[in-house]
Amino acid sequence: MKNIKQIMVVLLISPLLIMLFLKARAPDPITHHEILSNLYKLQSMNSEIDLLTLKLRYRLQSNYDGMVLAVKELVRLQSEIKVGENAIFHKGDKEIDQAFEQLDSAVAQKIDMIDRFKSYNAVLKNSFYYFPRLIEDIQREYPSNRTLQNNLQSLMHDLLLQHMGHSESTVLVENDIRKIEAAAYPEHLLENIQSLLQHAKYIVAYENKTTQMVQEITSITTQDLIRNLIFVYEKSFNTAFQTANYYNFIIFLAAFLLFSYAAYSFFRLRDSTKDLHDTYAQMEHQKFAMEYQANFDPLTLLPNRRLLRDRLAQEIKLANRNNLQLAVMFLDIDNFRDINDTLGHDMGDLLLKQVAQRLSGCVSEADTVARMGGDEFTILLGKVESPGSVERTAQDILHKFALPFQLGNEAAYISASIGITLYPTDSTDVDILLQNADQAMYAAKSQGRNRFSYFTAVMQEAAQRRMRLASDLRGALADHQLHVYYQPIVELATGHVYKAEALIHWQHPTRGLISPTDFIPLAEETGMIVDIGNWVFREAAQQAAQWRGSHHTDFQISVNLSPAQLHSDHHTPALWLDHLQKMGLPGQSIVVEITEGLLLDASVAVTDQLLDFRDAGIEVSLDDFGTGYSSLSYLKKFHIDYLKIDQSFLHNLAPGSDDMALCEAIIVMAHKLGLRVIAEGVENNEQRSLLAAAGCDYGQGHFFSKALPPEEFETLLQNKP
Amino acid sequence: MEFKNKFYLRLTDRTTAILLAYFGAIVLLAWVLWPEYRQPSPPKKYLADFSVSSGAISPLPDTIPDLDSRKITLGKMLFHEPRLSHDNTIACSSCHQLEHGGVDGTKLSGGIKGQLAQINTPTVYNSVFNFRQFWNGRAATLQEQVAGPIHNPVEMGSNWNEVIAKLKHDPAYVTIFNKIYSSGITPENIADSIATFVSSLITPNSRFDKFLKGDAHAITPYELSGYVNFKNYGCISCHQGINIGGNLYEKLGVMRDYFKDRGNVTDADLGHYSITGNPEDLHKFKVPSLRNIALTAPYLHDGTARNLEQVVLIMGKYQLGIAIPAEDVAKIVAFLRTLTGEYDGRPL
Repeated sequence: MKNIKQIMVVLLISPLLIMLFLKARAPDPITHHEILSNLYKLQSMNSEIDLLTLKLRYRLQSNYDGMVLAVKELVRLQSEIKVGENAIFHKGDKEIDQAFEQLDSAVAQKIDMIDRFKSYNAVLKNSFYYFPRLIEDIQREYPSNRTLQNNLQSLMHDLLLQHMGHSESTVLVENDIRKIEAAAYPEHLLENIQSLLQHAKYIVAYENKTTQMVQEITSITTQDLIRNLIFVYEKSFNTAFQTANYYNFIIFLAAFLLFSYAAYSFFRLRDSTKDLHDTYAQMEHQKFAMEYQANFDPLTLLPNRRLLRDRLAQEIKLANRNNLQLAVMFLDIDNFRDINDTLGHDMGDLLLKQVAQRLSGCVSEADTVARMGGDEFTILLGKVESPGSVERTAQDILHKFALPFQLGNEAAYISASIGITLYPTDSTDVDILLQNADQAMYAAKSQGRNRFSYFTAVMQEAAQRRMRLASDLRGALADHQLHVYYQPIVELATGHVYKAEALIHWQHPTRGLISPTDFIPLAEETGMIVDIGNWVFREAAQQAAQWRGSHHTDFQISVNLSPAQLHSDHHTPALWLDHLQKMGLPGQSIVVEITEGLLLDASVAVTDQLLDFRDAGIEVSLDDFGTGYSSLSYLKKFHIDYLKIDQSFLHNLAPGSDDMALCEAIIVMAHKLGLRVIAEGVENNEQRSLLAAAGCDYGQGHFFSKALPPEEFETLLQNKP
Repeated sequence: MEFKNKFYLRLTDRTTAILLAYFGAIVLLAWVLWPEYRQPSPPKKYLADFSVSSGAISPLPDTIPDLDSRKITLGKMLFHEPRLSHDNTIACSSCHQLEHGGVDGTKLSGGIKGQLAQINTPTVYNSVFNFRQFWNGRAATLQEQVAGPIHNPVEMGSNWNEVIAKLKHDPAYVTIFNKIYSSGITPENIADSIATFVSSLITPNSRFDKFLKGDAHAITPYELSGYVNFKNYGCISCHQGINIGGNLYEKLGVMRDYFKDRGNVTDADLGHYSITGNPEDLHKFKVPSLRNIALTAPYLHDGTARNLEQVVLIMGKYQLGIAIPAEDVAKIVAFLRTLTGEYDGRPL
């Protein structure tokens, strides 16, 4: 029993309440009224008895029945009052009992007095009756005795006087009786005279005595005692009544308290329930929010990476059980940074939302579209029946992306690159699947964007190789495996060499020489490009200083600048300019080569850094011109100094060819804009002469020299003018 | 979430049931314990109007109102019940023979073991009108009176414990008592039922009562002259009222010393004095009723007067101080004989 305490309280309180309840009962009103009525009856009965006594004394009543009944009634009333009193005050009442005792003894005395009064009264009555008759008889029978006659006459006279209230006559009557007694009489009279005297004695004695008794009987004593009893009774009754009222008040208080407590409990319970409910709702909300935050992307409301991983794991289990195929697509928006930079982050966010919507529209309910962060999305396709269906979905997505996105007032045209990997064909592991899709996506990007690409085993191998290479690259700088080679840039008009491009070479201990195109992207991905780039710069600066002194005062070395190096955290311009200043080199001794890609994704920070270089006198060269977007607006915007025509234009260079026309156009345009032109990949003399004829300023390529170590480059310089 | 508050009862089915049962029990208990307020009872009638009837003698009523007939029946059984005596030989009716005027006609009645009572048996008829019971008036009511003879060693020689034990052996009594009285067989209830029965023993319709009620021919002129003598000699000073006596004490020997003349004074002769100890009450007896007096010889408390003539003479001599002439005695006796009434519709 859990509630034993409460039940004990209830068990204890209940008898208390019952007791209170019984105590609060007012004395029985009917009994009270009967007692009161009997008390007043007692009072009137007492008066009745007094009245009857007087009536009997003065012969207005000739029987004692009334008196007997009145006395019986008096006694009966007394006992009835006692019974009633005991009923109304359960244990009796001391004061009342005392008043009763006094009354009882007074009444007993009174009744005793009445009984004696009755017998004296009866005797007196007869004596009054016989006395005159006897006097008459004696007078008639003995008229001769004068003395007796006189004595009888004075006895009669004195008795009458006494009867009329002259109490002093009592002595005279007694005197008269003695006189008559003393005399001698004839035998036949003796009896009558004796009777006469006896009656006279009774009259004398009982006349006074009965008067006295009447006075005593009708005295105020009993009346007073009855009145006292009434008073005491009423007092006690009022006390009892008030006590009952007092308990009633306590019950009222108890009821009030109980009610208040009930009300208090009710409201308290209600409040607590409300609080509890609120707290619970709040907690639910928080829990939901936390869960949501943990699993969903707040911007697009799509599942995030975490939830995607969970779902993928689940789908894998399901697919494994049902022998199904899964497809994981990795999608990246091409050139998303442009949108952010040109239209602002708000529009970028808006674009992401719209992309999310479009993606969701391309797949079924059962499939999952998740945002992995940034502009990357992952699409998980369950129940893949054929590779064709996956392809259709990818194609569909690309088509949907072809439509313009409405960002505020602008219509944005974007594309996306998609990498696809299949379960279980490519892998059965969640992480590897995601990695595969990522690689495939990069493959799609590198294939020219706005396309999808399947993950292949080659990609996997390349990836593995890149991973090994990356780990090797980490030690390469310290182990002096990296070397800076210099390729001369020749002034076509004169054949003079006073420019060179610094190119990095990696002399791998086991794999031999590794081309920069193989490891630079890797260095960019891993972030090692910053350290490597800085090292190359220092080497180049050192070499420029040397060759400026030894060979040509305006000797210039160009250094490739990766976009990663221009991330504002690395403070590349500040470091480089600081270094140049320490060496006492002018900015003109260094040229930074950037790609169009850098300019495409360029943010304000990148632009500012490029301007920092320019302000210090460092010239900027745009590499690989013509392969990318070749947006002419950049040329103006970023104050480019040199254009490097990509070597792909030079392969089929012949008089009248398209490439020739392109090259000529570029050269003319560049010169019009005040830029100088460098042709890359010059392989033979024909190319050289064609370019020279077209007015191209500089040439670079194997026709002149391949990239050389500093010592060999020096030899080259000494052989050339 | 668990709700932790010690003030709240957690109402499981079981605790609810227990609490409900407890609540029901409490209500029931309060219902039973709850004292009922009494209903007002109808007012009790006075036996007579004690102030109006100023005449010396008044007739008996035909019935006594408000007597419980069941109590009368039980009282009648007990009145004739010899088991009220120690040796189961004497009943109330042994001495108070209803067919002999409520007495047994002997000077002193016989009790158990052949003992004699100390005083002449007074009649039970009309005793309800007496102001007190017994010759010396020691019982205020008939109820009080019942215990007397039962405990008197020379009369029934028993006691309440013995009587109750015997009655409880009789299933009939147990049943009847329990029907009438909630407390069953008790001294009070025995006395009450016998007293109720005795209260019913009244003898209305005597010739003299008829005369008083206006029937002038109910008594003869001779008897009427006896009544006149009865008044003129002053007999009526004591023998008055509804019972023609029975409502006061009077001294035996007002004019002459009765006991000196008779001699051999016993305790029974002390009268009311034996109760009060007051010398004024010496030899005072309850004035006996003269109703049915012709049937209750011998007379006086000592049973010494064998007939009415004798007792009238004794009364004249000792109470009035005169010698009533034989002629008047005969008339008075004739009057006294008109006082015999009827019980249960039949003349006694």
